[in-house]
Amino acid sequence: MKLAKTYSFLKKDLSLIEDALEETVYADQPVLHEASTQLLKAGGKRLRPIFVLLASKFGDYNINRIKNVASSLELIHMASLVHDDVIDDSDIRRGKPTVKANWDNQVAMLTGDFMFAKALQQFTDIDQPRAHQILAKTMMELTIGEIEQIKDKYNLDQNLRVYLRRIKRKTALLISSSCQLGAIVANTDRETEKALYRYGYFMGMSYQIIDDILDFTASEKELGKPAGSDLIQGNITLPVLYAMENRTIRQELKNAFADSSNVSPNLLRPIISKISKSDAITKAREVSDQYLQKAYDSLSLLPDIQAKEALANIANYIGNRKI
Amino acid sequence: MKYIDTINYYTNLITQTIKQSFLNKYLDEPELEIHKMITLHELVQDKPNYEELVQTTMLVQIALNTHDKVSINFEEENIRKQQLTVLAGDYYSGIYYHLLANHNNLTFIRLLADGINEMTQAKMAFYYSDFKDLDSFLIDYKEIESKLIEKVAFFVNKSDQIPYITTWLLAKRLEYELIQLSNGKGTFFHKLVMENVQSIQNNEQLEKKLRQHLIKINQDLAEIIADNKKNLVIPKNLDLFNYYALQKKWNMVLEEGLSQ
Repeated sequence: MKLAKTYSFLKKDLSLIEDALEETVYADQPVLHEASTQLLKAGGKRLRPIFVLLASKFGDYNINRIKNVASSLELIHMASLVHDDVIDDSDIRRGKPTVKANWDNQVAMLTGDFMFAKALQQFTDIDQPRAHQILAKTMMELTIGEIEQIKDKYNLDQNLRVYLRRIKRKTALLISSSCQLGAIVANTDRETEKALYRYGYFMGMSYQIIDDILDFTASEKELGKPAGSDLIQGNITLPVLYAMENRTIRQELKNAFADSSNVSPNLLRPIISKISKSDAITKAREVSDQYLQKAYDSLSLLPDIQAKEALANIANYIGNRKI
Repeated sequence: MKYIDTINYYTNLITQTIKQSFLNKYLDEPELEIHKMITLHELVQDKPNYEELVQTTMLVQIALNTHDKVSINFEEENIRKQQLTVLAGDYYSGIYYHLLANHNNLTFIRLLADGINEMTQAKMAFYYSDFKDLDSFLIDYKEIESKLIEKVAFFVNKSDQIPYITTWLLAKRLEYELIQLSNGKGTFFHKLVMENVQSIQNNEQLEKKLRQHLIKINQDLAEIIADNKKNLVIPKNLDLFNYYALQKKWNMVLEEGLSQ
């Protein structure tokens, strides 16, 4: 089943959010407006707004309030992407030129800051202090996750726990917060809110692990960047951690990373190929499946409404996605 | 000693708040613009949560200044420093939101978000403009220099002070830039002038022009004071940077034994 079909009943509301996003990123300054709009038009799955809408269905669904939360979270996500592209020096995202490639780092920095400001301007329409405390904490953790990622680059002496903590901060928390904030703004009871938060957290963990697997198994055309790009940038992901249980691969990586300034796609290509064919991929997928199962289990506590089915379908799609 | 105590108080408060071991290892401590700190304190000191207002406004200022340091293109030898500069700015703005969210101060969250929005738009227009001379450059620069503080002045119903404050802030900025020039230290401001002002090609020209402008701005300040019957928040001739440098030197003398 196509992902969009699982939440087709949200079509009208998602289109309202799309309009709200477009309206929000309006800037009098033409370069800023163009850069933000380019980012918006580059597409994306809009997963965070979808999670907000679906979570809100378990309470008092008021699209005018929920819309602010959904678009704020998407703007925060986009702001972090535009800054990420500066950090990673990426010229292409989702097959299209990045803001830093079309303009430069400075425009990308200002665009990210502008979107962050727009997100907070919107979100302050929500007068529930707890919602702000959750979002603020999530944003802090998101940045700390990115800092940790840089700290751990090319470090082969890291373990599963370090990796899981990093992806929790980097990806899972914004998704779990999307679900939780959707619940809060719709005034659900605390049990429902907790179940939705847990669902989002487990989904987010699974989502990032699959992303890390696809970095090895998908083609350059599908990824829009060379396979193994994470490893080339020094990021030790779950498939790499498992692959390093093989002494030969570990030693080869150790040799390749001995001088991080000399790491190149050519140098790592044979190792990337070995990892993609190793059982590390299966092992990583098993961890993702365990998180998915936990996501399904969290849903079992929720009433049987259409949104619950959609959340389960999204979990199913994420778990089996090929790109 | 009043001002130096205030400066030291907020410097400690902000330095403690933004401490992050990995960032501290690779990045220089962010520069705290003491002229803005003093102005903010004077504006809000009669509010019950004045410390929070000064602290969070300064955090936003530091976050935006930090992002200004990200170079147009990364150089191979300092990639990590540049990457962390991006994240440091994000981290500091995250702290501003976190502090205010935990005190349920939604109004001020909104006010500073408005400020960031306007500031990014003003900066984008400014950084990509060519200026014929320093006059036209400083007219636009003045707006960027005082944008956040103007927002705060409106917030505390002291908008009548804005003409004085914005002129004073520009005067202090020029004083600071002249000190840095005479110490041979390049700043972001110097870089901006050199890149965007056609009539200025070297440090000597810059220094001469800055001195001329400072005299003019001080005259403007005197006129505002003469026209204004009300009390103005900050004294015109506050010798801020020398004060601060002297205090720093004295502290170093007092703490010399600690490094043994």
